[in-house]
Amino acid sequence: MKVEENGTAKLFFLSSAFWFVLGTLEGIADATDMVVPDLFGGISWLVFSRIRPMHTTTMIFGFVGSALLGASIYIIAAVLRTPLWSERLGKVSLWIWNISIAVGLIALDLGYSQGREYAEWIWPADIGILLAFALIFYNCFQTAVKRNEKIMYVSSWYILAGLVFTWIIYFFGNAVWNPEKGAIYGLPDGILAWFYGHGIVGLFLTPLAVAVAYYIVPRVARSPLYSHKLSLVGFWSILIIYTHIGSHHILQTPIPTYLKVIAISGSIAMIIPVMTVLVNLWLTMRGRLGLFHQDIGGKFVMAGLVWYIITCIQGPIQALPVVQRMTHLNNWVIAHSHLGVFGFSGTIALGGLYYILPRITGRPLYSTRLADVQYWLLLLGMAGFFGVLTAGGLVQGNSWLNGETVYRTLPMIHVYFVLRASIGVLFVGAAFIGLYNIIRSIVGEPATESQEFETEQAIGLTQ
Amino acid sequence: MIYYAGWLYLVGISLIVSILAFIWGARTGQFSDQDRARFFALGPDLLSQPVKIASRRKQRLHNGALLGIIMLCLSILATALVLGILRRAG
Repeated sequence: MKVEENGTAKLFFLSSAFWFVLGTLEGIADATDMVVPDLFGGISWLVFSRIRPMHTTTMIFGFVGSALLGASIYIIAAVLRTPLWSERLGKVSLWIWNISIAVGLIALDLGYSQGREYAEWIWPADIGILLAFALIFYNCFQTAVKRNEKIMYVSSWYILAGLVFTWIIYFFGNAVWNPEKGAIYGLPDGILAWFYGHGIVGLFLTPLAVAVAYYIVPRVARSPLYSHKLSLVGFWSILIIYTHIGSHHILQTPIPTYLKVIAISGSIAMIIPVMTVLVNLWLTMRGRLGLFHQDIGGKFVMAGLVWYIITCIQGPIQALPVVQRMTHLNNWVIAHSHLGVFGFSGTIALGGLYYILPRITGRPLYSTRLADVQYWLLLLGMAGFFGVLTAGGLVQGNSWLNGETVYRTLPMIHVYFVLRASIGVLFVGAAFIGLYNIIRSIVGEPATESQEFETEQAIGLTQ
Repeated sequence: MIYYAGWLYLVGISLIVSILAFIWGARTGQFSDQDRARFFALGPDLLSQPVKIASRRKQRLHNGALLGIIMLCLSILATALVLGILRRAG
């Protein structure tokens, strides 16, 4: 096994780019299926019920998870002024991670699923993911133990806590002590499933994405963080609040009222950690936005923070029962989950990737212009996606409340499904551009101006 | 209550882990010298690198796009809130 400095982070980035392409292809297959349900002619490995969980898990763990883990491994070493404890262990964990994702996805495509949202992967894949998390944590923890800087920067707190909490919620959320079903029983399983479902976004993707933002924003701004104290207030408050708010996903079920009260009040209280992050980073960026517009990594992170604002305003509002009557069990929620996973975490993950990769390879990105094209495709695509799905969701929600039947509602939202599939093409294009750019950045020389132009012509971006 | 004990254990475990980490942090001086900690993301190499700032046109375009997105999304959220309240009143 080849061991090189930051080799683990680099391969996590490459893996992320590959999974991004696969995840968007799965997404476009699903979106097309919603518009033309008979298109695939009943081919078993292309049916919606198999591709949908493949899409969500590929995006969460494969694309966003891999990029954030790669960035985290680089960042924790950088802010602690210490090399990663073991690059060899890092690469072992990377391969276990990737093989587990592949096993989970192939099994899903063959029809082997544990049937709980985001926890569909079969037991062997779960064990692999848990092992990878444990090894990555151990590597980061040993790096922290051997650190040359006594005080830990806020990013390292977020990374270590994110890895510990993800392991806990993944272990319990997938009920790995029950290999056959990956579940417990009755309503408590619903609570457990959403303890996991919400936690995998909030305690895996969010802390790592915030850690990346806390590293990249001061660097791009070339300014110290506005307040390290404030950042720690945000960190400890998210740790205390986040674990028990997942039940807001099942407010319409007969779970005990005290759980609903905890979930709703916790959701509202999430405004505290979110605002500490946003205010702190905004005050660090203030007066220096020109630097962010110029730096492709900084640009992605800045857009990710905009999506973070919107996601975190939306979250508490939709946790209110009066709003949830209208928004739950329809495409509104799909818009929110795309905003959280793809808009916020995914965009910041790409920001981390594009900022860190040139520093690992020691040369500029193959093409910043291609990365910029990818940025605009994702930004405009995400805005359109959010608008279309939210509008479609409100139509659906109103219909449910009016007592409409499904077969009368479906024609009403067909146009939104067509728009969704059309916008999905932008994401697929963006993913392919990203993969090409990242492979060339790792293996080749940076492009000259004329080569960039030729590449853009070849993929039809210029006339 | 016992029916849901498993969930409460999980919340309990996560709180205990958080509190233990906080106590460790306080005892090892992690919350001292916070002014120095603000600079940790900035490496020693950073300030010697050249600064590039985007053109005014590029800045305006990007700021406008982000602001437009924020306004679009907030108006959608406001619509949902108003619709929800009206439906409840109706």
